[in-house]
Amino acid sequence: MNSLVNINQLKIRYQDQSNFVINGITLAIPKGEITALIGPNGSGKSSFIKAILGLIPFTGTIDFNWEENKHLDSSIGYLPQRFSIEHNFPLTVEEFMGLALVECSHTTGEKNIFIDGSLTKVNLFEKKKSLLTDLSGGQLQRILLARALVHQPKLLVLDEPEAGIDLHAEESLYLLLKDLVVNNGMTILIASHELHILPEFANNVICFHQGSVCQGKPEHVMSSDLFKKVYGESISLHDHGHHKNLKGVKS
Amino acid sequence: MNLILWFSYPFVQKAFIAGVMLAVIAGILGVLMQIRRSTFFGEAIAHSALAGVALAFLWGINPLIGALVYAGLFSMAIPVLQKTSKLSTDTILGILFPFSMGLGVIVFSLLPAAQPQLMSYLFGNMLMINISDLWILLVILLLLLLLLTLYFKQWLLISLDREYAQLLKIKVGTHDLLYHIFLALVVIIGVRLVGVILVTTLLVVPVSIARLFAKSAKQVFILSPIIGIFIMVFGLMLSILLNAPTGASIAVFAGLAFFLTLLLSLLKNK
Repeated sequence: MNSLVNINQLKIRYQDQSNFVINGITLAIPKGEITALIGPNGSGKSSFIKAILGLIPFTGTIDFNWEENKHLDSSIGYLPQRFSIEHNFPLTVEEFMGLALVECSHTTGEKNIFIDGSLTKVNLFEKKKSLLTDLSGGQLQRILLARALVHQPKLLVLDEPEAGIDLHAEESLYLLLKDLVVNNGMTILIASHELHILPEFANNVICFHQGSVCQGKPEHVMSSDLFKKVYGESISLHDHGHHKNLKGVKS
Repeated sequence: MNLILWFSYPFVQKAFIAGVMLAVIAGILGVLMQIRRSTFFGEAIAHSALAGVALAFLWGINPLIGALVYAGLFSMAIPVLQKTSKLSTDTILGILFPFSMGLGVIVFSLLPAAQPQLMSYLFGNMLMINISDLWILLVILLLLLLLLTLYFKQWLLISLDREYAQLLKIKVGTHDLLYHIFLALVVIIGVRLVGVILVTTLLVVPVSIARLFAKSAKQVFILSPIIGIFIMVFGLMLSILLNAPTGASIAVFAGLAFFLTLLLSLLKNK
């Protein structure tokens, strides 16, 4: 397996807690594929993501198999679980995107090309001059994705991107992510509770439970026995008719 | 009363120059404060200065130094108390703010000779501003412009989305420290010159009016100091015309300006 990220003996513990949220896990994130992180709330998915992003302290090692992106700010794109700006502050999409390139040494013209390209990719170029506060939940989510893509990252990390958006917006988001993998060779790491979509969408699944993980293909990992153990109840993965367009998208 | 005659007096000219500089400084910092949702922080620092001024009188040291040292300790205590008590910043401020005000009032009550200073702390007296005060304000204004030239986008990103700023490896802690030290300095100097009420007014009202009309963050940052200057100049003129205290007149004028523009924006959007 050609891996993009290698994680070795990763341990995470918050200052005010005695137990480890993540307790010595070793795994690899395959390159050019979609890896889904599943598990109940508080199982460590977000902490795992934050460790990869370098936002929280941890022990063990996280190695990235790429050369540092010297011209753009980051080789990792990130779409957070929650995003809110101060109530109704008038910030345009263009200004918001520009801030993501604040540390980048390119000229204003070049930055504009990056921003335009990224907005076009998420089909929201026409919203460039709009205020963030005038966008719908689904549009805001796509703008956040455009910001995550503006650095042309090698790894795209998404933390429960479906939170707060409707089914239609969710489906377009997943199709867009699939397109990024197929046509741009991007590696995607996504934490999600949408268990019924993941078998169709993800190439790999990492399941978090009580500080440890199990990893494998969705058809191997996502079993009723595992769900009963992890979530404490039986979960059916039958699609209820939603997300029909996602059928067969897995490469 | 002849306004032109008043403008020929050097003390009035100095008040206007100081007012304009302070309006620009507070107008810009006020925007960052609102984005950070930390308007209460500036207000709490301003009010905490009362304890510093009072203790300085008690111990016979310069009130400005007393206010600066107290505000510095106040700012540093917030993260420490937050960490140890696990309470929110607003809650910590809600404890420290009345404690400091109460301490200041008690100390002032023990020092009858210093009572006029209490009124000066609350409302300031812009008509007493001297040349050295103007130089101090000019240095602060130039320092702010320098900091904004160097770090405007970093400060804006940190204010809007700290996590993303950390992801871009921006030194968030260092920038935060720089921003808070600078804010505390501006607030304390402002309190010393124009009083606590006017400092709070200049940090909050201009940006709030600007946001009613602005169509981008850039417009808010440009409009806020301009509106601040407008409030200062017309508030001072009102004070001269009514022969009323300057700080109180400007604060009242600012409040009226906000309600009027709010009404206008509501009618415009109807």
